[in-house]
Amino acid sequence: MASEGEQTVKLVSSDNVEIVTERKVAERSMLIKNMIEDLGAPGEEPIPIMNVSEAVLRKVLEWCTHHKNDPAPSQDDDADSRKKTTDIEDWDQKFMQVDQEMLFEIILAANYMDIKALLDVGCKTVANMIKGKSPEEIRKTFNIQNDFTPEEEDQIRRENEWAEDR
Amino acid sequence: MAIPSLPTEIWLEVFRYVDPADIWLSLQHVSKEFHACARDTMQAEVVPNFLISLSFTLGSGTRARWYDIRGSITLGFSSMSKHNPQYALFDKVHLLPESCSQRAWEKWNQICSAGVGESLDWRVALKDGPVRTVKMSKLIISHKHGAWCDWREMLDAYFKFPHVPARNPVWQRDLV
Repeated sequence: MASEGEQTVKLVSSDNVEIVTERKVAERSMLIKNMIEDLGAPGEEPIPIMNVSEAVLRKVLEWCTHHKNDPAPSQDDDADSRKKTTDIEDWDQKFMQVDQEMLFEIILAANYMDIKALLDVGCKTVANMIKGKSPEEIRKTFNIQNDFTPEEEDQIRRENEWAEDR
Repeated sequence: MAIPSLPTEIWLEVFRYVDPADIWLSLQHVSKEFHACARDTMQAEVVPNFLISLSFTLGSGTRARWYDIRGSITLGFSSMSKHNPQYALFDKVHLLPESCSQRAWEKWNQICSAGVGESLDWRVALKDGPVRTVKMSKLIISHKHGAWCDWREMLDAYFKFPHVPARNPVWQRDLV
C-alpha cells in the first residue's frame, strides 16, 4: 500500500473531468481533506468538486502543488483583523496575473474548497486593484452597477466634491 | 462568458485588506452593497483602532513660572453604543504629563462640566496612521467623562481634511 505522501486522489470537476493529483496537494483544501477522512479509502472513490470547472480546478491545484509543503497558518495570522495588502510573495503575484474572470473564479473556488491561504492571496490581489481608485473607477474595474437613487447620488456628489482632485 | 460576481462575504474579506482611507473615501460610494460592507468594516475593525486626544493648559499653579504647563487627555475606544450605533464610546483614559495627572484630570473635569462645544480642536489618530486635528461638533461627554463620538463624523473629518502634524504622536499602545 502506498504511503500517505505517495497516495493519489481522483477529483471530478463540475464539467465532469477527472483529475488525478497527489493526496498531499489535494489536502491543501480542507473540503477535500475532510471528504477523504470521511470516505476512508483515498484514491478509490472519485471526489466531486461540484462548483469548480476543470480549468479553474487545474489552476487551483497548480497553486496547491506549489504550496503543498507550506506550514499550517498560526492562530496569530487569523487574529490580525486588519491586514496589509502588499505582502504577496512573488510566485503568488505571478500566479494571480490572470484575467478578472479567472481571478474571481479562483477566489470563489478557494472559498468553496476551503483553502484559506489561496483565498487570502485572491482577496489581497483584489484589494490591490482597488487601491487609490475613485468610486467610478472601481465600478468600471469590477463591472458593478451603481444602484444608488438619484437623491442618494446627489448626497454622495456633495460629499465627494472636496475629493475630485484625488 | 460574464464575469462572476463575488458574494458579500468575500467582499467583506477583501475589505479587510483595503486601506481604511480607500474604504471610507471610495468604496462606500460604489454601490449599496459596498456602502453596507464599508460601514460594517469601519465600525467593527477600524473605529476601535482610533484614539482621540485633547490638549489644554494646566495653568502655572501656585509657583510663579514664566511658562505654562500643557496637559492632555487621550481617550481610547471602549465600545459602540447599543442604543445608537452611530456613536462610539472612547473612555479608556490616559493623562499627560503623568507627573501632573491629578491636575490634568481636574482640568478635564472642568472642561467636561463647562461643555466641550463645537470649536475644540481634537487630535485624532488611527493606529499606524498620522495624527490629525479635527473638530467634532457631535461629540458628547459621557457620564464617566469619556466621550461619545459620532464615528462617521470622526471618519469624515479624519480622512477628508488636511492634517496638522502633531509634535508628539498621541498613540498609546495600551489604550487599544
